[in-house]
Formats: sequence, C-alpha cells, structure tokens
Amino acid sequence: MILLILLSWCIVSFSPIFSQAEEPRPKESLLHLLPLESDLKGWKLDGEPQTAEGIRLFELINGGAEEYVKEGFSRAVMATYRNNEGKRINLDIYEMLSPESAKSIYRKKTGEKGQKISVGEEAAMEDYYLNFRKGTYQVTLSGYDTQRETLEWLLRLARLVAERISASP
Amino acid sequence: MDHITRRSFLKRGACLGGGVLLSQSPLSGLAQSRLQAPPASEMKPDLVAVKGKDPYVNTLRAIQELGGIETFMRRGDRVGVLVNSPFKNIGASVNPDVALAVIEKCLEGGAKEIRYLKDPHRGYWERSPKSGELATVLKALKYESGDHVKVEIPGGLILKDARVLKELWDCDVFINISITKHHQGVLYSGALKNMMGLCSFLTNSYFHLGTLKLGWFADLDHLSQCIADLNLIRKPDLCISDATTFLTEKGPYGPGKLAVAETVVASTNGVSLDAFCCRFLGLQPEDVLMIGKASRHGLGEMKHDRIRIKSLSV
Repeated sequence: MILLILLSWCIVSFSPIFSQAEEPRPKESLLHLLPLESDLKGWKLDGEPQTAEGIRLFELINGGAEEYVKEGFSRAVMATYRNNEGKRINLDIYEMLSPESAKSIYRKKTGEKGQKISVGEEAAMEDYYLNFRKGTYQVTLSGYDTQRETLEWLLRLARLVAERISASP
Repeated sequence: MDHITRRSFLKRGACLGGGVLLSQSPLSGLAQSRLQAPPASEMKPDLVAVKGKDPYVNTLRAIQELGGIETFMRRGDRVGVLVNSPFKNIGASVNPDVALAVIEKCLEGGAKEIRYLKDPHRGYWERSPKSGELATVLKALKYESGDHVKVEIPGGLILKDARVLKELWDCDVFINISITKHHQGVLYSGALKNMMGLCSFLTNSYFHLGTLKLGWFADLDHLSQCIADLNLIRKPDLCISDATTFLTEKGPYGPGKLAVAETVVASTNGVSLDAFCCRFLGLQPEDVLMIGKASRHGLGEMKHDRIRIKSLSV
C-alpha cells in the first residue's frame, strides 16, 4: 500500500511540472504576502500562520486539498486575523504551479452568483467570503457573518494581499 | 454579532436543496406515522432528530431521547470523542456547542477521562458563546497524541489495514460527532466519513490516491469502499450529527453556500444516521456510495422503514 501511495504522490505532484516544463523558481517564504498588522487598524494575527507544500496540504485542509493538488498546487500559507471585538477573518493564500492552474482553481472556488469586484486579475464576493486570483496565486478570505464591516475588511485585506503579490510568476 | 441566520441566507437564496427542513422532509411523515404505533412508542427510538434554535439544547435532548448518556457509558469509563472540527470555515466543522453538550454529559455521567480524538482548528472553542461558562469542561479534555498503530481489517474489501490513532483503543466508549455537509467527491460527509479523522496521513492518502487514477476525485468507488472498510474497525457507541448550519457546496472545506436546518440528529448507528442526514442535502441514501457499501458490510440499516425514528422540536 505504501508503494502505491508514494507512486501516486509522485505522479500527482510532479506531472504538472513535467507537462509545463517550467523552470524551477527559488523558494521564498509566502509569509511576506500576509498583510502587516500595522496596516490593519485593530486587527492582529490570531496565532502563527500555517504553511504547507505539495501533498502536505492534506494535513491542513484534509479532503479540501484534493482539488488543489490535482490542479497543480505548489504551496500555501494560511492565517487568521482577529480584531479587538473577537471577530475573525481567515486568509488562505495558495500558490499554484502556473497562472492557468490558479485560474482553474479560482473557477472551482467561485460561483456564478458572486459579486464581481476589483481585486487582482479576477475576484468575486459571495455572502461571507471572497475569492481572487493574481498570477500564480488563488486567495480565499472568509468571515463568520455577513455584517457590512466584515465584508469591508474582507475587501481591504484582499487588496493588501494583491498588492503584495508580484504580477509575474 | 450578526451571525449568519437562516433568514439571511434564505433571503440571499443561499439555501439550496440542503435547506430542507425536517418538517418538510419525506422522513417526517414516516417518523410521525411510526411513532403513532402504540408498540413503537414504548420502545426507545433508534434515531432521534431534534429541531430548535439552540444546538446545545438540541443535543442534550437528542441524547435524552435515546435513553440518556448512562445508556452509552458507565461511571469511570474512558470516553473518546471524534469531532469533525479541523475546518475553520463556517458550516464545515461541528458547531462547538454540539460537542460541548456531549462532553458535558459524559462528565456528568462520571467519565474518568475524555479523549478528543482529532484536534480542532485553532480558535474552535472560542466560536462558542458557552466556552467561557464551560471552561472547566474544556480543561478536562485530553487531546490526540498523533501516534497511530496498524490495524488489520480482515473484512475489508479494499482496505486490508489502516494506521489508526492509538487512543481509540484506550477508550471504553467511542462517540462519533460529525457535521452533515457537502463533499465535492463523495457528495456527502457525515459519520462514516468522519472516521477518516482517526487515520494517519499515509492511510488517508491511499483513500484519495491509491488507485493511481488522476483527475477530479478520479476513483470515487475506491474512496467510498475504503471509508466503508474503515468503519469495520470499531462501531461507535453513539453517533451525533450536526445539521444546524452546514455547507451545501464546496465541501468539505468551504467556504461555500450554507443551509440552516437547526437540527441535531443522534443514533446508535452511523449508517442509519448518514442515510437520514444525507436528505438535508437533497440526496437519497443510494446516491452516496459509502452508505450502501457500509450497509452491505452489515454495519447498519439504511432503509428507514426498518428503524424507529423520532423527530421533535424544542
């Protein structure tokens, strides 16, 4: 069984790389994409951000990882911000292997009914969450209610992340 | 706090098929007609569905209707609770008030120790308004070690062994607390699927990728059979499913559209529980491969005319 798992891991993890023949990029931490607390009035990181590479994404989001891994996932950073009133916003930044992979996963994460907004190359706000993509990145932000203040902070955080993402992969 | 309410989501048209209310479900008539039969009313139900505004109260009532916590445990028992709570998005993890109600009842029942068999996401308990007043309950919990042991599954059709959390075998009583929600692969996630929370990363990787088929959840039959086989390792003494607020799309992780059914369901059997709860997502038990496969293993009844169901509102 272990042999099967290792084989499948190799195939799933590396086939998109082989097929696209990309040059390997130097690995810089994704932590620099997280908005700074100094840019967020009254909001702070709630605990240490979590990171994952390749198939290890399953350890962070369990079955939710399947769609990412199969679309060509590279790595991710996840953080939660909390304000003085105890309100929380979750931020998940996924680096995919190519802009096409990011576009494809963005399509799966967003619905048709979302409100189109101006963040990155494409973005949509739905009920209590926001998705956008830019370059090789697909980003999801989510809150726990539909208050106007929450939605405004989702948008503000998203724009801060988008500014930090380099336009070219 | 303006939490997401049933009203706000109905307004937004967010409740899809999952917004099925128990009173309108095909099961409600069945449940009522069965309860009207005099012999059945004298017996404890096999499955209870409690609808109400407060998930904590619903859970307490559901346990009571099944005979009380003393039906499932004795004083001095070690209790293991497997709570689907690793996902931070709303509707993707069990409402913490549901888990708190079960844990509190176990402590009241004299549990010597309560093992939390799958660590919750950070900030999980703080999502509950009751976490402050129940701080002593939370302090009593012991969390998972992360150590897994190999378990043989002779009756498994595909899964012949699995690496499972060691503490499961230290528990006298095992309680499975799942959330009813959408799953992009197997369509529905509940009690049977929750058992994957006990397994190691390598075992779960085999579930997802073991046949080497590439593509979007490329081998659902394999995944579903592995889940059914895994459930042979140990049947829970009590299963509870949170169908209060849950994902109706983009599960298991979300975020996605939510439905609010304000219901907590409890049963002594995971197959019957899942066969009942999948209807909150507009699914029939036959639509969810793992339910039929688990039933064929003899793990439980998926036909509701063969079990005693009680539904009530509080």
